[in-house]
Amino acid sequence: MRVNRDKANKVAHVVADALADMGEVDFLEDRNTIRLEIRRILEELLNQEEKIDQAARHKIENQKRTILEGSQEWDILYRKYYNEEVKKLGA
Amino acid sequence: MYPESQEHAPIGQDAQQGGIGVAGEINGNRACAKAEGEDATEEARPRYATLLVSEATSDLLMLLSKEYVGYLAREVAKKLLAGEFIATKSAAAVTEKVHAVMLEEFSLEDRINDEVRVILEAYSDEMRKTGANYQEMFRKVKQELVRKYKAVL
Repeated sequence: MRVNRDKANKVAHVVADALADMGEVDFLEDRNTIRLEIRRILEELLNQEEKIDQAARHKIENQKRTILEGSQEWDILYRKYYNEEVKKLGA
Repeated sequence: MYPESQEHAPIGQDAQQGGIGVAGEINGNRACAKAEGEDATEEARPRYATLLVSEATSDLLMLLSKEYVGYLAREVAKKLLAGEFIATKSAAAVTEKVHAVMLEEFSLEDRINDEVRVILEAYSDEMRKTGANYQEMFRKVKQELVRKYKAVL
């Protein structure tokens, strides 16, 4: 996973804090429970992201000619295929 | 005084490392650097430690793509509401807020890297003269900024 556990935890923290600051949001559980749930959701989704990354890389590898990672062409194709995979998720 | 290319007052707290003081907003436009032992009157200038989300943040450099962060935000908001962890009359506002904070957090390393580059650029002549290793200086200044902003990368 490109995002480590500490980072997922930090993101969960800042999201929980941001939601707590929103007047129009009611917390139905305590903040820590919500933070842990956000982290759980994030970890689940970030594992899925790894598959998206692999799928995009696989598509580039399957091109007729070799495209070197780090080249501009590789970056453009990676972004294109990555976003196609994200769209498949209904994004 | 400040390097020629820098027009703004130092902002943020100084972090001394390897003889270089680091200070500045994350956005390159306003980041500044100053040398150790500089004029004390400069210390009285306003200080900020705001990390701004750059519009120009590259999608490819980010830890995750902007598209995927958008998806993450929508899913997190949707699942929190569906699971009855939170309630709101404005689900769109929740998604928007979650998206904004996630984008800021996931692009933090890029913004720190940008600030390090600006700082090292300001000291490029000095580094060239002293034969300082760019990669090593990059690593050291980045460590200082990570500590300064209490960032988790």
